[in-house]
Amino acid sequence: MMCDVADVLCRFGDWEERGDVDRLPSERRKTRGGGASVVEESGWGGWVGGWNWQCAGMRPLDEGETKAVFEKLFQFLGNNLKQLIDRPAIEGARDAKDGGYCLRLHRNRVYYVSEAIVKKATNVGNDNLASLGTCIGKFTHSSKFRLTVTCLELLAAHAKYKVWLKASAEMSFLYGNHVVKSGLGRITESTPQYQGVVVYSASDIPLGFGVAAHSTQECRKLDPNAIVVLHQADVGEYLRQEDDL
Amino acid sequence: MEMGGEVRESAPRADLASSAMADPPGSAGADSPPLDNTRNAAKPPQSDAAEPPTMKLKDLLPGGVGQDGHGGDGGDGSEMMTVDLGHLMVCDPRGPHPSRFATEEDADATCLELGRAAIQALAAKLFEVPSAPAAVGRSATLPAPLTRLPREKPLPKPKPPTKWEKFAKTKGIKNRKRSKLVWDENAQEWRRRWGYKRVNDEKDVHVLDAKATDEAGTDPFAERRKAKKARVAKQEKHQMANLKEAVKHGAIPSTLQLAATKLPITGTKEVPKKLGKSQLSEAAGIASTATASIGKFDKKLPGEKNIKQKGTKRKRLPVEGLKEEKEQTMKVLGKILSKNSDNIVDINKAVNVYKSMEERKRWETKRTAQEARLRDRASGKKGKKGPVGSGSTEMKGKTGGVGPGRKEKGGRRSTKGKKVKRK
Repeated sequence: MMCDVADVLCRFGDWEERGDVDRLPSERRKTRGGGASVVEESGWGGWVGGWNWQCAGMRPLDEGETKAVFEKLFQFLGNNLKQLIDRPAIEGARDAKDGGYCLRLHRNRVYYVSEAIVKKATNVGNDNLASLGTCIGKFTHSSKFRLTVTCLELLAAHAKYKVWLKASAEMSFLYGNHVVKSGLGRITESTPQYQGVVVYSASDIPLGFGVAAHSTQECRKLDPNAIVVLHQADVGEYLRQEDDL
Repeated sequence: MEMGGEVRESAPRADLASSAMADPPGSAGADSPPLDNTRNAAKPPQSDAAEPPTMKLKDLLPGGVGQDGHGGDGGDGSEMMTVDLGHLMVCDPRGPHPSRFATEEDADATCLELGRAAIQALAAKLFEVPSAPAAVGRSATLPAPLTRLPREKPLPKPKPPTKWEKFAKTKGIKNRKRSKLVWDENAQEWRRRWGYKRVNDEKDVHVLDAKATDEAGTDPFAERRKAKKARVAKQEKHQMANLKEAVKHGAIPSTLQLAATKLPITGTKEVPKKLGKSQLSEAAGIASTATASIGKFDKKLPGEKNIKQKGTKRKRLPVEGLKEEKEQTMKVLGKILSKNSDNIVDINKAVNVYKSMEERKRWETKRTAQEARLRDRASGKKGKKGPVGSGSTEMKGKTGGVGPGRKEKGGRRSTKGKKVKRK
């Protein structure tokens, strides 16, 4: 269910879709590019604002993008964000000296990936590279950053504020609904309003994340139908939006 | 003639003032007339003529400063001041005597004194104006200013006559007033002579009679439109010619002054700017790349260099340049963390902890007091049991133990999760 963190996924499938089955990808590139670095239309989709976002190859984030990503993560992690950036890599690294984690942008999506895997991924052509590391979110057409449910594991590991659901409210949340007061099992003390929170099941399994609609203090006085956590993502999306993830 | 009367009058007045101030009359008299003129214009004439020698200065003042006794505090001369509330302006018509500026200290003291008196007079008048409470303090409407200030800008130059005006003058044609509205026979209503919805508008005629002179293949409606355009163009040409003439005389209408450089009326007045080297090369660069192939296949002149095109180039970090990337990441991270560094301490939580500590302290003091009371009572009843009761370490330990226990209980109460866990 969860995205395999240590994987660099390659996709060769779309050659067949175009009826280029008889030719190898490498041959096909020769016929297309003519040696120049061409940003070409591929099966991935169209042009946005004069810049083909979809085909933009893997690259580090620029300063503005990094800021957008970190600000969003900071909402959930607070000062724990530093740990997320600084921790030594587990995946793909032969030893602790093999570097830490970094962020890579590939086709609008931001990947949290160990440096060793980045090195390996450079061997895969941009057209064929489908995913690497953990996708933590994507940049929208208007260049805003959204976290996707695939980053849940990371958020849950470092989250500052958490919400536990009652067993009866879990299904409702997994169908994409907000958490109401009656479904709230437990909440981190002194959660401020509009704080990013990770939502757990009663048995401490992370189910998704959202934004606290009320502070902990206010939650005590709310009526049972009032919304406590605004839904942002939940693991149900692995089924509901399988194609978009 | 009025002026004469005033000048005559000003001498005794100045004498009066100067005698009060123990100043020689000549100097004060020389200072006062120009100021007096404006003021006396506003004051009633009979008081002017009635008793010139014995008149008091304050009676002559237009606003009557100090007449009601509110204006001054006596002696400092603030009641003698002329106040123009409209400009918030105070004048001392007497003028200070040079002897009061003899030494530097004297000059300073005189300035201070005069300034104080002026402000005093202004404040006194200002607070007589009816006022109403406003959002901040009170607000009053000031009367119209009495002193007329001179015009800041020079008068506009007269416009030279237009060509038609010249012609009309030679022919003796005079403008006569014509009504704006004319009766339209066709529409059976009053219409404007000119402009939108005008009388006898050509546009309203949808059928034209064929004439013998009409050539085959010509559109009479198109001809009509063309004629109208030609008439408008001719009029615009005449207007421009007139404006050019006006520019020569420096009498361009203010409405056109800003647009004048864009209109073809200033002629060759504007000196064409000399292009610099960089501008020339920029222009050459634009021209050389303004072809279908962006200048790629154009023949180069001997000595012509490839011109660099300016453009913003996005700087990207290398895909694997991990060192620079790390620096950038840590920079952004540091910025975000420092921006939010003020919420390291959770204030609400700190307040709660403090409150609970206070409560506990209060509770403990109460408890010890109660215990002491009990002990006293016990020792009063059974003297022997006193020392046993004063195995107070046990009791103390108990009270100490109760505190945290209570706190734990409170903590449990605050989070509902424990209940869930128990389930």
